[in-house]
Amino acid sequence: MQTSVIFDYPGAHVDMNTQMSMTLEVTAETREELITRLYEISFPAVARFIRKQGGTLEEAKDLFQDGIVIYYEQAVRGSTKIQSGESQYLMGIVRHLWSRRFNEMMKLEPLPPGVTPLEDDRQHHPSINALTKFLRESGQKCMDLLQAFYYDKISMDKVAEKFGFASARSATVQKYKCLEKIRDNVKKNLMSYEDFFE
Amino acid sequence: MRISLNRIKSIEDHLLKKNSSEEAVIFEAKLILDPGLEKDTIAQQLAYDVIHLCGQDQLRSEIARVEKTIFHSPRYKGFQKLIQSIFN
Repeated sequence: MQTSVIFDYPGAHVDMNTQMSMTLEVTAETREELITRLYEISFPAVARFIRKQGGTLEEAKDLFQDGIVIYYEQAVRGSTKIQSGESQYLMGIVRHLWSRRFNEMMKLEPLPPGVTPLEDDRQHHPSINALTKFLRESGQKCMDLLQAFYYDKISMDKVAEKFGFASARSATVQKYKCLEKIRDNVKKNLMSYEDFFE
Repeated sequence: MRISLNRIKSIEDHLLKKNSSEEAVIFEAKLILDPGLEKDTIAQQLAYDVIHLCGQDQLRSEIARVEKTIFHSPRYKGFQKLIQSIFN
C-alpha cells in the first residue's frame, strides 16, 4: 500500500510503502530548503560525533557535504530504506564515511624522506572532469534537461512542465536528442584513447 | 521518433535494464553483429556518467552555497553559536 507524506516545506514529497522505503522528489527551488533543513536539524549531532572522534569542524563540514550527496542520490532513486528519521540516516552515512576515511589514513604509511609520490596517471589524459566542464558549457540547456531526468529522477510529466514542453512525449523526444548530442560529444572527445574502442 | 533516436532508446533500455529478458537477448545478439552498436553503447554509458557528474557538481555547489550562508549569515547566529560551542 502506498501512502504519501508531505514534508513541511513546499514541493518535497516522501512516498512510503509499508517497508518504509522512501522516494524523495525535490524540485530545484525546494532543494535549497531541504539542504538548509538538513544542516539545521542534522549537522549539530554530526559535529558532536566528529568532535568526539577527535576530528575538526572542517572535517565535519566535509563529511556532511558528502553525506548529503549520498542521502540525496539514494532518496531520489527510491533505494533508501529508512527505518528511523532522516537525521539518524544521515548520521549513519557520516559515521560510515568517517570510519572509512580513518581506516584509509591508518593504512597509509608515510613515504621515506626524499621519495616523491608517483604522479596520478589521470594527469596525463584529458580527465572526465574536463570533459564534463566542456559539455556543460557547450550545451547547458540540454544538460539541465538530462540532469533533471537522469540525476534528479524527475518524472517526464514534470520535466515537460519545467522546461515548457507541450507534453511528456515531446520532452522525451528532446531528451533523446540531447542524449545523442552529449553521446556524440563524448565520442568525439574520447575517441583519442586508442584503447577505448579497441 | 527518427531511427537514430530509436537506437538511443534501445541502448538506454539495455543499459538501464528496462527491457525484458527476450529483448535483452536480442540486444546482446545485435551487439555481436554490429560493432558500431557496441561503440555507441560504450559512449552512451559514458554520457550517463558525465550527466551524473554534472548533476553531482551542481548539487555540491548548492550545498556549498547553503553551508556558506548557514555558517556566516546573521540569520543563523544561534546555529553558529551552537556549532562553535561544540568545537571550543
